[in-house]
Amino acid sequence: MSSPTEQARRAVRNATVSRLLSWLAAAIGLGFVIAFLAQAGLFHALLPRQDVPPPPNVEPDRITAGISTVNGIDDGKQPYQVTARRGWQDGKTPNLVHLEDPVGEFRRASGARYTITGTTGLYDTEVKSLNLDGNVVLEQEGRFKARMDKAKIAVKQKTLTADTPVTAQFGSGTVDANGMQITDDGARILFLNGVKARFTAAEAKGDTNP
Amino acid sequence: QEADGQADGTAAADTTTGTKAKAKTAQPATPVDIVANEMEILDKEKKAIFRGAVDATKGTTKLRSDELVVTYADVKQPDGTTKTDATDLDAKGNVLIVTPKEKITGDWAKYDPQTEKLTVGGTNVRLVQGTTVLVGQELHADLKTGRTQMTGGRVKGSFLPK
Repeated sequence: MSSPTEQARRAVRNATVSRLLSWLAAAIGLGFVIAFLAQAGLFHALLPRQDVPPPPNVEPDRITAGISTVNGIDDGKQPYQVTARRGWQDGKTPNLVHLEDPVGEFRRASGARYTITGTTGLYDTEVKSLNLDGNVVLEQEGRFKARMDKAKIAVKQKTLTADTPVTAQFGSGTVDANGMQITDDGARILFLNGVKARFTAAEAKGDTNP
Repeated sequence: QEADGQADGTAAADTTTGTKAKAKTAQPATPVDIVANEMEILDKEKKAIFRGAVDATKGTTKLRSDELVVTYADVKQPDGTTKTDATDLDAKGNVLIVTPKEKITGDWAKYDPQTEKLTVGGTNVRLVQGTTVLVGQELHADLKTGRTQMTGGRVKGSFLPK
């Protein structure tokens, strides 16, 4: 049997051990609490402010296809084609396609070919319209060439409308106007809003002035 | 002092000015400048229609009207290219033609650039040349020979003797 002093010593040791254990438990508990609070972001304000990197500039989705081409048959049963160096779908309006360096090729029932080029273009796949912007040049083989800033083309109907100044070069002269409309498969060209035309007749013999 | 037309209603006021016949050498064509409110090209009909305050100038000749229809044709050039050439000019409404020598007004006018023949018509066609005034219904002028003839109905002319 153990002597009273041993018992007392054991009791003291137990007491010390239990005190240490209780301190340890308390520390662990406190640790948990602190960890929880840190997780909850409570100490966020105490931490030094780090520069929050700006959110990445997320561009709208772009469906980019290198050379973009649109082909179709117009109301006069003639093929048309619109190609562009680069084309991408509009982020908000899916039926709009933005075009870079677009080239439109159309054909009249007579077989004569039209080409129209611009710096940028917007093609509407639903209504089949092509709006060209910047250095727009319309050319019909061997007939005339017209330059304007902007042009709206209804691709199926092959009509063109320009509300900006236009200069058209024909074989026998030049027309300057402030607007132009082409209809009837290219057979009717209407120059609007003030027209200045200069024509030089073919070489005439003995052109006598009255 | 007013001189009545002849019995058959036509008066030939020969205003030949005795233009000397010029040597026919190929000269560069005189350009035609036309200003208007709008212009429409009808490819199928080979017409160019100028509408609204039309003012056409060729050399020293000026034509003004409400509307001018130019009929054209494709002309093969010596160098093989094709040029369009006016074959007929048809002016309508408030027609005024001014040349260095005369001033003509009427309701309509037709001019053939190939033959250089001009016809001006209307209820009151008027030719003023210096102090000479001729009034009638239809004026025919040959711009090559300078010969002008007023026909159609009663023709009135007033001449101021020198």
